[in-house]
Amino acid sequence: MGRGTYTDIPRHLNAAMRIVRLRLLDRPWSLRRPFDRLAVESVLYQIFLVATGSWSNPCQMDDHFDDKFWLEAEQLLAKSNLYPGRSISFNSPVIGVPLALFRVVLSLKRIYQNPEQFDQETMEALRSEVEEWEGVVLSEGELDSPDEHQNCHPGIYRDAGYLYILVSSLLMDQISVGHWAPGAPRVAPPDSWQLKKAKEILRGRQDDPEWSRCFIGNWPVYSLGFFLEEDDIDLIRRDMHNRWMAVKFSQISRFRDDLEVTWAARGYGFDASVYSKSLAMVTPSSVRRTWMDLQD
Amino acid sequence: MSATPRPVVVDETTAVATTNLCFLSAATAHRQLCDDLEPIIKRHFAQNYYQLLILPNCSEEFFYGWIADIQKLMVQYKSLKFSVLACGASHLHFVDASSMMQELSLTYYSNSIKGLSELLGGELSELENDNGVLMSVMLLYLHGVSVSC
Repeated sequence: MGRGTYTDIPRHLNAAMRIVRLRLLDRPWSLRRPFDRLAVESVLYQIFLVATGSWSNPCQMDDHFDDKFWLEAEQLLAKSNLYPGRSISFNSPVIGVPLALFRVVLSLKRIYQNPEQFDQETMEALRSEVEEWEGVVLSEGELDSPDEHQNCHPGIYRDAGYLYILVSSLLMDQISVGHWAPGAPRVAPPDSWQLKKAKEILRGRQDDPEWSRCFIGNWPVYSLGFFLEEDDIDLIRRDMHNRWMAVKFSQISRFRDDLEVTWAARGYGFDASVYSKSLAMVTPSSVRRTWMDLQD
Repeated sequence: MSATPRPVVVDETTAVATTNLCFLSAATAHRQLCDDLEPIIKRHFAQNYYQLLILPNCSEEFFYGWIADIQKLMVQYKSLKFSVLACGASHLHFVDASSMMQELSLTYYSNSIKGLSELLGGELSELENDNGVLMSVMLLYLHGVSVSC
Protein backbone atom coordinates (compact mmCIF):
# COMPACT_ATOMS: atom_id res chain seq x y z
CA MET A 1 0.00 0.00 0.00
CA GLY A 2 3.07 2.23 0.31
CA ARG A 3 2.31 5.72 1.53
CA GLY A 4 -1.40 5.32 0.80
CA THR A 5 -3.33 8.54 0.56
CA TYR A 6 -0.54 10.55 2.22
CA THR A 7 0.75 11.66 -1.16
CA ASP A 8 -2.73 12.98 -2.06
CA ILE A 9 -2.64 15.55 0.75
CA PRO A 10 -1.29 18.48 -1.33
CA ARG A 11 -4.08 17.99 -3.87
CA HIS A 12 -6.81 18.08 -1.21
CA LEU A 13 -5.06 20.91 0.58
CA ASN A 14 -5.00 23.00 -2.59
CA ALA A 15 -8.72 22.41 -3.03
CA ALA A 16 -9.39 23.44 0.58
CA MET A 17 -7.23 26.57 0.16
CA ARG A 18 -9.20 27.58 -2.92
CA ILE A 19 -12.50 27.19 -1.09
CA VAL A 20 -11.24 29.06 1.98
CA ARG A 21 -9.96 31.88 -0.22
CA LEU A 22 -13.26 32.09 -2.09
CA ARG A 23 -15.43 31.93 1.02
CA LEU A 24 -13.39 33.68 3.69
CA LEU A 25 -10.23 35.46 2.59
CA ASP A 26 -11.71 37.43 -0.29
CA ARG A 27 -14.37 38.92 1.98
CA PRO A 28 -14.00 42.12 3.99
CA TRP A 29 -15.39 40.83 7.26
CA SER A 30 -13.85 38.78 10.03
CA LEU A 31 -14.74 35.18 10.83
CA ARG A 32 -18.03 34.92 12.68
CA ARG A 33 -18.83 31.24 12.87
CA PRO A 34 -16.86 28.61 14.84
CA PHE A 35 -16.53 26.31 11.83
CA ASP A 36 -15.01 29.11 9.71
CA ARG A 37 -12.25 29.58 12.27
CA LEU A 38 -11.78 25.83 12.57
CA ALA A 39 -11.47 25.50 8.80
CA VAL A 40 -8.88 28.27 8.46
CA GLU A 41 -6.81 26.88 11.35
CA SER A 42 -7.05 23.36 9.97
CA VAL A 43 -5.88 24.49 6.54
CA LEU A 44 -2.99 26.51 8.03
CA TYR A 45 -1.90 23.60 10.21
CA GLN A 46 -2.01 21.33 7.18
CA ILE A 47 0.06 23.81 5.15
CA PHE A 48 2.55 23.79 8.01
CA LEU A 49 2.74 19.99 8.00
CA VAL A 50 3.06 19.73 4.23
CA ALA A 51 5.62 22.53 4.01
CA THR A 52 7.76 21.14 6.83
CA GLY A 53 7.25 17.61 5.49
CA SER A 54 9.96 15.16 6.31
CA TRP A 55 13.33 16.36 7.62
CA SER A 56 15.24 13.64 5.82
CA ASN A 57 13.39 14.09 2.52
CA PRO A 58 12.78 17.83 2.22
CA CYS A 59 12.61 18.12 -1.56
CA GLN A 60 8.96 19.09 -1.84
CA MET A 61 9.07 21.92 0.68
CA ASP A 62 8.64 25.06 -1.41
CA ASP A 63 6.25 23.49 -3.90
CA HIS A 64 3.36 23.80 -1.53
CA PHE A 65 3.91 26.99 0.36
CA ASP A 66 1.83 30.00 -0.60
CA ASP A 67 3.20 33.00 1.35
CA LYS A 68 0.30 35.24 0.35
CA PHE A 69 -2.34 32.78 1.50
CA TRP A 70 -0.54 32.21 4.80
CA LEU A 71 -0.18 35.91 5.51
CA GLU A 72 -3.79 36.72 4.68
CA ALA A 73 -5.11 33.80 6.73
CA GLU A 74 -2.90 34.78 9.67
CA GLN A 75 -4.24 38.35 9.51
CA LEU A 76 -7.81 37.07 9.31
CA LEU A 77 -7.33 34.89 12.39
CA ALA A 78 -5.73 37.79 14.27
CA LYS A 79 -8.87 39.90 13.87
CA SER A 80 -11.29 37.01 14.41
CA ASN A 81 -11.21 36.03 18.05
CA LEU A 82 -14.70 34.62 18.50
CA TYR A 83 -14.37 34.78 22.26
CA PRO A 84 -12.68 38.07 23.15
CA GLY A 85 -10.98 38.14 26.51
CA ARG A 86 -10.56 34.39 26.55
CA SER A 87 -7.29 32.49 26.15
CA ILE A 88 -5.62 31.51 22.86
CA SER A 89 -6.36 27.87 23.66
CA PHE A 90 -10.08 28.60 24.15
CA ASN A 91 -10.22 30.43 20.82
CA SER A 92 -8.13 27.93 18.90
CA PRO A 93 -9.47 24.50 17.89
CA VAL A 94 -6.43 23.32 15.91
CA ILE A 95 -3.33 25.54 16.32
CA GLY A 96 -3.30 26.08 20.10
CA VAL A 97 -0.02 28.01 20.30
CA PRO A 98 0.79 31.51 19.03
CA LEU A 99 0.61 31.23 15.23
CA ALA A 100 3.75 33.36 14.92
CA LEU A 101 5.71 30.35 16.20
CA PHE A 102 4.64 28.35 13.15
CA ARG A 103 5.81 31.14 10.86
CA VAL A 104 9.20 31.29 12.61
CA VAL A 105 9.67 27.53 12.29
CA LEU A 106 8.65 27.60 8.62
CA SER A 107 11.08 30.42 7.84
CA LEU A 108 13.94 28.66 9.62
CA LYS A 109 13.22 25.38 7.93
CA ARG A 110 13.15 27.03 4.52
CA ILE A 111 16.53 28.63 5.15
CA TYR A 112 17.89 25.38 6.55
CA GLN A 113 16.85 23.45 3.45
CA ASN A 114 17.67 26.17 0.91
CA PRO A 115 20.84 28.01 1.95
CA GLU A 116 20.56 30.25 -1.14
CA GLN A 117 17.51 31.86 0.46
CA PHE A 118 19.76 33.06 3.25
CA ASP A 119 20.05 36.83 3.34
CA GLN A 120 21.48 38.85 6.19
CA GLU A 121 18.53 41.17 6.66
CA THR A 122 15.97 38.37 6.90
CA MET A 123 18.25 36.49 9.23
CA GLU A 124 18.62 39.44 11.58
CA ALA A 125 14.86 39.94 11.77
CA LEU A 126 14.35 36.24 12.37
CA ARG A 127 17.11 36.14 14.96
CA SER A 128 15.58 38.90 17.03
CA GLU A 129 12.18 37.20 16.85
CA VAL A 130 13.68 33.90 18.02
CA GLU A 131 15.51 35.72 20.84
CA GLU A 132 12.22 37.15 22.07
CA TRP A 133 10.68 33.69 22.21
CA GLU A 134 13.79 32.29 23.88
CA GLY A 135 13.33 34.94 26.57
CA VAL A 136 9.88 33.54 27.33
CA VAL A 137 11.31 30.05 27.88
CA LEU A 138 14.31 31.24 29.88
CA SER A 139 12.06 33.21 32.21
CA GLU A 140 9.58 30.33 32.45
CA GLY A 141 7.00 32.72 31.03
CA GLU A 142 3.51 31.91 29.83
CA LEU A 143 2.50 31.79 26.15
CA ASP A 144 -1.20 32.17 26.90
CA SER A 145 -3.46 33.82 29.43
CA PRO A 146 -5.12 31.71 32.12
CA ASP A 147 -8.64 30.46 31.43
CA GLU A 148 -11.17 28.72 33.60
CA HIS A 149 -12.14 26.33 30.78
CA GLN A 150 -9.73 23.39 30.88
CA ASN A 151 -10.36 19.91 29.57
CA CYS A 152 -6.69 19.13 29.89
CA HIS A 153 -3.86 20.76 31.83
CA PRO A 154 -2.83 24.04 30.16
CA GLY A 155 0.78 23.11 30.86
CA ILE A 156 0.52 20.76 27.88
CA TYR A 157 -0.01 23.71 25.55
CA ARG A 158 2.82 25.64 27.21
CA ASP A 159 5.24 22.70 26.97
CA ALA A 160 4.38 22.15 23.29
CA GLY A 161 4.90 25.87 22.64
CA TYR A 162 8.23 25.72 24.48
CA LEU A 163 9.32 22.81 22.28
CA TYR A 164 8.50 24.81 19.12
CA ILE A 165 10.66 27.63 20.52
CA LEU A 166 13.50 25.30 21.50
CA VAL A 167 13.55 23.66 18.06
CA SER A 168 13.61 27.15 16.47
CA SER A 169 16.44 28.20 18.75
CA LEU A 170 18.48 25.08 17.93
CA LEU A 171 17.96 25.61 14.19
CA MET A 172 18.96 29.26 14.52
CA ASP A 173 22.16 28.28 16.39
CA GLN A 174 23.19 25.85 13.66
CA ILE A 175 22.42 28.32 10.87
CA SER A 176 24.25 31.14 12.70
CA VAL A 177 27.52 29.23 13.00
CA GLY A 178 27.22 27.89 9.45
CA HIS A 179 26.98 24.38 10.85
CA TRP A 180 24.22 23.10 8.64
CA ALA A 181 23.41 21.51 5.32
CA PRO A 182 20.10 20.66 3.70
CA GLY A 183 18.54 17.60 5.25
CA ALA A 184 18.00 16.63 8.84
CA PRO A 185 19.35 18.92 11.59
CA ARG A 186 22.68 17.97 13.08
CA VAL A 187 23.13 16.76 16.62
CA ALA A 188 23.30 19.61 19.12
CA PRO A 189 25.47 19.68 22.26
CA PRO A 190 23.60 17.60 24.85
CA ASP A 191 24.39 20.14 27.57
CA SER A 192 23.01 23.11 25.60
CA TRP A 193 20.32 25.00 27.52
CA GLN A 194 17.81 24.20 24.81
CA LEU A 195 18.28 20.44 25.00
CA LYS A 196 18.40 20.46 28.80
CA LYS A 197 15.03 22.20 28.88
CA ALA A 198 13.56 19.99 26.15
CA LYS A 199 14.64 16.82 27.94
CA GLU A 200 13.17 18.15 31.17
CA ILE A 201 9.83 18.65 29.38
CA LEU A 202 9.86 15.19 27.82
CA ARG A 203 10.73 13.52 31.13
CA GLY A 204 7.97 15.45 32.85
CA ARG A 205 5.41 14.30 30.26
CA GLN A 206 6.67 10.72 30.01
CA ASP A 207 3.62 9.13 31.65
CA ASP A 208 1.05 11.76 30.84
CA PRO A 209 -1.79 10.31 28.75
CA GLU A 210 -3.18 13.79 27.97
CA TRP A 211 0.15 14.79 26.44
CA SER A 212 0.24 11.62 24.35
CA ARG A 213 -3.30 12.10 23.04
CA CYS A 214 -2.82 15.73 22.07
CA PHE A 215 -1.45 16.27 18.54
CA ILE A 216 -0.07 19.67 19.53
CA GLY A 217 3.26 18.05 20.47
CA ASN A 218 3.65 15.70 17.48
CA TRP A 219 5.79 17.90 15.25
CA PRO A 220 8.12 19.45 17.85
CA VAL A 221 8.85 16.08 19.51
CA TYR A 222 9.62 14.58 16.10
CA SER A 223 11.91 17.48 15.17
CA LEU A 224 13.68 17.44 18.50
CA GLY A 225 14.67 13.83 17.87
CA PHE A 226 17.18 14.90 15.23
CA PHE A 227 19.18 17.06 17.66
CA LEU A 228 19.67 14.38 20.30
CA GLU A 229 22.63 12.10 20.88
CA GLU A 230 22.23 8.36 21.09
CA ASP A 231 22.01 8.35 24.89
CA ASP A 232 18.91 10.53 24.84
CA ILE A 233 16.87 9.20 21.93
CA ASP A 234 14.89 6.77 24.06
CA LEU A 235 13.07 9.80 25.42
CA ILE A 236 11.78 10.42 21.90
CA ARG A 237 11.14 6.74 21.22
CA ARG A 238 9.09 6.47 24.39
CA ASP A 239 7.14 9.66 23.62
CA MET A 240 6.38 8.53 20.05
CA HIS A 241 5.38 5.09 21.25
CA ASN A 242 2.96 6.56 23.80
CA ARG A 243 1.49 8.81 21.10
CA TRP A 244 0.99 5.89 18.78
CA MET A 245 -0.71 3.82 21.45
CA ALA A 246 -2.96 6.74 22.40
CA VAL A 247 -4.16 7.79 18.95
CA LYS A 248 -3.03 5.31 16.28
CA PHE A 249 -2.39 8.04 13.74
CA SER A 250 -0.15 7.09 10.84
CA GLN A 251 1.59 10.47 11.10
CA ILE A 252 3.26 9.16 14.25
CA SER A 253 4.63 6.08 12.53
CA ARG A 254 5.85 8.20 9.59
CA PHE A 255 7.67 10.54 11.98
CA ARG A 256 9.06 7.60 13.87
CA ASP A 257 10.27 5.88 10.67
CA ASP A 258 12.00 9.06 9.56
CA LEU A 259 13.80 9.35 12.89
CA GLU A 260 14.81 5.70 12.96
CA VAL A 261 16.29 5.88 9.46
CA THR A 262 18.30 8.97 10.43
CA TRP A 263 19.43 7.48 13.74
CA ALA A 264 20.47 4.27 11.99
CA ALA A 265 22.48 6.29 9.44
CA ARG A 266 24.24 8.01 12.35
CA GLY A 267 25.17 4.61 13.73
CA TYR A 268 22.81 4.74 16.68
CA GLY A 269 21.77 1.29 17.78
CA PHE A 270 18.31 0.00 18.38
CA ASP A 271 17.52 -0.44 22.02
CA ALA A 272 17.44 -4.21 22.56
CA SER A 273 14.52 -3.83 24.92
CA VAL A 274 12.54 -2.03 22.24
CA TYR A 275 13.61 -3.73 19.02
CA SER A 276 14.60 -7.27 18.17
CA LYS A 277 17.52 -7.76 15.79
CA SER A 278 15.30 -9.25 13.13
CA LEU A 279 13.00 -6.25 13.17
CA ALA A 280 15.95 -3.93 12.98
CA MET A 281 16.63 -5.46 9.59
CA VAL A 282 13.06 -5.24 8.32
CA THR A 283 11.68 -1.77 8.12
CA PRO A 284 8.39 -1.57 6.21
CA SER A 285 6.14 0.81 8.04
CA SER A 286 3.41 -1.77 8.49
CA VAL A 287 5.83 -4.01 10.39
CA ARG A 288 6.92 -1.03 12.44
CA ARG A 289 3.38 -0.16 13.33
CA THR A 290 2.67 -3.73 14.39
CA TRP A 291 5.81 -3.73 16.47
CA MET A 292 4.93 -0.40 18.05
CA ASP A 293 1.62 -1.96 19.01
CA LEU A 294 3.33 -4.85 20.72
CA GLN A 295 5.48 -2.70 22.94
CA ASP A 296 3.99 -1.79 26.25
CA MET B 1 -31.59 -46.77 -28.29
CA SER B 2 -29.17 -45.12 -26.07
CA ALA B 3 -29.06 -41.48 -26.26
CA THR B 4 -25.85 -39.98 -27.41
CA PRO B 5 -24.87 -37.32 -25.03
CA ARG B 6 -25.16 -34.13 -26.79
CA PRO B 7 -22.37 -31.79 -26.49
CA VAL B 8 -23.23 -28.97 -24.25
CA VAL B 9 -23.41 -25.93 -26.33
CA VAL B 10 -22.27 -23.03 -24.29
CA ASP B 11 -24.29 -20.13 -25.30
CA GLU B 12 -22.05 -17.06 -25.09
CA THR B 13 -24.96 -15.05 -23.80
CA THR B 14 -25.61 -17.56 -21.02
CA ALA B 15 -21.95 -17.62 -20.05
CA VAL B 16 -21.77 -13.87 -19.87
CA ALA B 17 -25.02 -13.75 -17.93
CA THR B 18 -23.75 -16.37 -15.49
CA THR B 19 -20.50 -14.49 -14.99
CA ASN B 20 -22.38 -11.27 -14.49
CA LEU B 21 -24.60 -13.03 -11.98
CA CYS B 22 -21.52 -14.09 -10.01
CA PHE B 23 -20.13 -10.56 -10.11
CA LEU B 24 -23.55 -9.23 -9.26
CA SER B 25 -23.81 -11.58 -6.29
CA ALA B 26 -20.38 -10.60 -5.06
CA ALA B 27 -21.14 -6.94 -5.61
CA THR B 28 -24.50 -7.25 -3.87
CA ALA B 29 -22.94 -9.09 -0.95
CA HIS B 30 -20.23 -6.45 -0.71
CA ARG B 31 -22.80 -3.67 -0.81
CA GLN B 32 -24.84 -5.41 1.87
CA LEU B 33 -21.74 -5.77 4.02
CA CYS B 34 -20.92 -2.09 3.55
CA ASP B 35 -24.48 -1.14 4.48
CA ASP B 36 -24.30 -3.25 7.63
CA LEU B 37 -20.97 -1.78 8.65
CA GLU B 38 -21.83 1.86 7.97
CA PRO B 39 -23.46 2.56 11.34
CA ILE B 40 -20.52 0.95 13.16
CA ILE B 41 -17.97 2.97 11.22
CA LYS B 42 -19.91 6.21 11.65
CA ARG B 43 -20.13 5.57 15.37
CA HIS B 44 -16.39 4.94 15.56
CA PHE B 45 -15.78 8.19 13.69
CA ALA B 46 -18.00 10.20 16.05
CA GLN B 47 -17.00 8.56 19.31
CA ASN B 48 -13.33 7.76 18.83
CA TYR B 49 -11.71 9.38 15.82
CA TYR B 50 -13.29 12.84 15.72
CA GLN B 51 -12.13 13.86 19.19
CA LEU B 52 -8.51 13.35 18.12
CA LEU B 53 -8.84 16.11 15.50
CA ILE B 54 -9.71 18.96 17.86
CA LEU B 55 -7.60 20.40 20.65
CA PRO B 56 -8.97 19.68 24.12
CA ASN B 57 -9.13 23.18 25.62
CA CYS B 58 -11.00 25.03 22.87
CA SER B 59 -14.57 26.21 23.23
CA GLU B 60 -17.14 23.44 23.11
CA GLU B 61 -18.83 25.32 20.26
CA PHE B 62 -15.99 24.24 17.98
CA PHE B 63 -16.19 20.64 19.11
CA TYR B 64 -19.93 20.06 19.16
CA GLY B 65 -20.65 22.48 16.32
CA TRP B 66 -18.48 20.70 13.76
CA ILE B 67 -19.66 17.18 14.52
CA ALA B 68 -23.29 18.36 14.46
CA ASP B 69 -22.70 20.00 11.06
CA ILE B 70 -20.99 16.88 9.73
CA GLN B 71 -23.86 14.69 10.84
CA LYS B 72 -26.40 17.07 9.33
CA LEU B 73 -24.61 17.68 6.02
CA MET B 74 -23.58 14.08 5.34
CA VAL B 75 -27.22 13.32 4.61
CA GLN B 76 -27.11 15.84 1.78
CA TYR B 77 -23.51 15.38 0.61
CA LYS B 78 -22.54 11.85 -0.42
CA SER B 79 -18.91 12.95 -0.65
CA LEU B 80 -18.95 14.01 3.00
CA LYS B 81 -20.55 10.74 4.07
CA PHE B 82 -17.83 8.81 2.23
CA SER B 83 -15.07 10.99 3.70
CA VAL B 84 -16.39 10.25 7.18
CA LEU B 85 -16.58 6.52 6.40
CA ALA B 86 -13.09 6.53 4.88
CA CYS B 87 -11.56 8.10 7.99
CA GLY B 88 -13.59 5.95 10.39
CA ALA B 89 -12.82 2.68 8.58
CA SER B 90 -9.15 3.44 8.25
CA HIS B 91 -8.81 4.33 11.92
CA LEU B 92 -10.64 1.10 12.78
CA HIS B 93 -8.09 -0.69 10.65
CA PHE B 94 -5.30 0.62 12.86
CA VAL B 95 -7.18 0.10 16.11
CA ASP B 96 -8.45 -3.42 15.36
CA ALA B 97 -5.81 -4.52 12.83
CA SER B 98 -8.60 -5.30 10.38
CA SER B 99 -7.46 -5.60 6.77
CA MET B 100 -11.09 -5.55 5.61
CA MET B 101 -11.46 -2.06 7.08
CA GLN B 102 -8.37 -0.97 5.17
CA GLU B 103 -9.90 -2.08 1.88
CA LEU B 104 -13.26 -0.55 2.74
CA SER B 105 -11.59 2.71 3.64
CA LEU B 106 -9.99 3.01 0.22
CA THR B 107 -13.31 2.26 -1.45
CA TYR B 108 -15.01 5.00 0.59
CA TYR B 109 -12.11 7.35 -0.11
CA SER B 110 -12.46 6.81 -3.82
CA ASN B 111 -16.25 7.26 -3.63
CA SER B 112 -15.78 10.54 -1.82
CA ILE B 113 -13.46 11.85 -4.54
CA LYS B 114 -15.94 10.73 -7.17
CA GLY B 115 -18.73 12.56 -5.35
CA LEU B 116 -16.63 15.69 -5.10
CA SER B 117 -15.83 15.63 -8.82
CA GLU B 118 -19.54 15.52 -9.59
CA LEU B 119 -20.25 18.37 -7.19
CA LEU B 120 -17.45 20.53 -8.53
CA GLY B 121 -18.87 20.13 -12.00
CA GLY B 122 -22.03 21.85 -10.76
CA GLU B 123 -22.76 25.29 -9.42
CA LEU B 124 -19.87 27.14 -7.83
CA SER B 125 -22.29 28.89 -5.48
CA GLU B 126 -22.36 25.69 -3.43
CA LEU B 127 -18.73 26.23 -2.58
CA GLU B 128 -19.42 29.70 -1.35
CA ASN B 129 -22.45 29.01 0.73
CA ASP B 130 -22.24 25.51 2.02
CA ASN B 131 -19.73 23.74 4.18
CA GLY B 132 -20.34 20.23 2.87
CA VAL B 133 -17.67 20.37 0.18
CA LEU B 134 -15.08 22.03 2.41
CA MET B 135 -15.65 19.48 5.17
CA SER B 136 -15.31 16.61 2.69
CA VAL B 137 -12.00 17.95 1.43
CA MET B 138 -10.69 18.59 4.95
CA LEU B 139 -11.47 15.03 5.97
CA LEU B 140 -9.74 13.74 2.85
CA TYR B 141 -6.46 15.47 3.74
CA LEU B 142 -6.88 14.39 7.36
CA HIS B 143 -7.24 10.84 6.03
CA GLY B 144 -3.77 11.23 4.54
CA VAL B 145 -2.29 12.63 7.76
CA SER B 146 -3.87 10.42 10.34
CA VAL B 147 -4.99 7.15 8.87
CA SER B 148 -3.28 6.71 5.51
CA CYS B 149 -2.68 2.98 5.11
